[in-house]
Amino acid sequence: MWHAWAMDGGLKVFGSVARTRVMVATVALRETYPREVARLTAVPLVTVQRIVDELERQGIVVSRLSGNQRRVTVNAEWIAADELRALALRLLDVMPDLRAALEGERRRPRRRGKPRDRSGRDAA
Amino acid sequence: MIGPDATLREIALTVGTALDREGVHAVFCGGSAATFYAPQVYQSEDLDFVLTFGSEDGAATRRALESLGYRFENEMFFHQASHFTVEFPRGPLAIGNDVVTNTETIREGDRVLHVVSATDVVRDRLNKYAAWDDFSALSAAVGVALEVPVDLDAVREFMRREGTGVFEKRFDEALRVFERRVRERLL
Repeated sequence: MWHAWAMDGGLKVFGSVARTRVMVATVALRETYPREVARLTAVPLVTVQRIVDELERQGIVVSRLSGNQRRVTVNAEWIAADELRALALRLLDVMPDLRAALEGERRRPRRRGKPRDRSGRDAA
Repeated sequence: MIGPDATLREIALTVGTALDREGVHAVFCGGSAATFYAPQVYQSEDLDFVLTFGSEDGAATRRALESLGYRFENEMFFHQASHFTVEFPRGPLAIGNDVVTNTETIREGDRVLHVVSATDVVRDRLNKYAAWDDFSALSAAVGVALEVPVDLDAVREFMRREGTGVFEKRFDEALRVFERRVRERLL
């Protein structure tokens, strides 16, 4: 019997489990930063940074500094940017733990001063 | 009754009834309305009510909430016995460019609550997902669509209307991902 969690545990579409998780999270979030990717994917920060460097060298992602934070986005001009995004979103469907991590994040704006809920998330 | 064990649904009905008795017409909406329709899928701890036009009576609103034991602080209402907060975001009640005029009225015994429809909750959450890549909003939209009947044609039509120009690709993609998750019952 096929289980989504089993596939999630070993999905290596982009060469390794860590690389696959980093790729899927980075592409799905559209704009992110290495520390966020590390937190959501449970991949060590240094590994995330190495993978992002490699992706940047290949022209798949681009980064820019915002303050002291390195913001990473998929290079919209890259030849297969749309296809990569469609693939990442599809893979996310079969990566339940990564999907749950992304769903636990609030990315829409939040009024200043609004309290966080009991789990530490921003209130809905 | 507002207490530590009261669910969001119970509190919404209690607050809605207190407002109604003070002559305040307010519509329950936002992420908390998603929890109202799909409590096991999406948990909000913050109840949003929008006062409808002509009903923006701050004093009456405050009276209604204070009669239930709420105190007003930092633009929202807190209760000592419950972690659920109540807030009144500025109107008009709108989803994207659409002003919401048709709402549902839930009656349970002598309690009453005006709430946005399940279809509008899905439109609202999907709009948030498309605009901000907010996966928690996507999950709420899917959860509500799987839990209660939703007019999916109205959702599609809304997403096509909102997603114009540079937003077209984003909204098309959001709709595609939503429909796939509903079809595959992916929560």
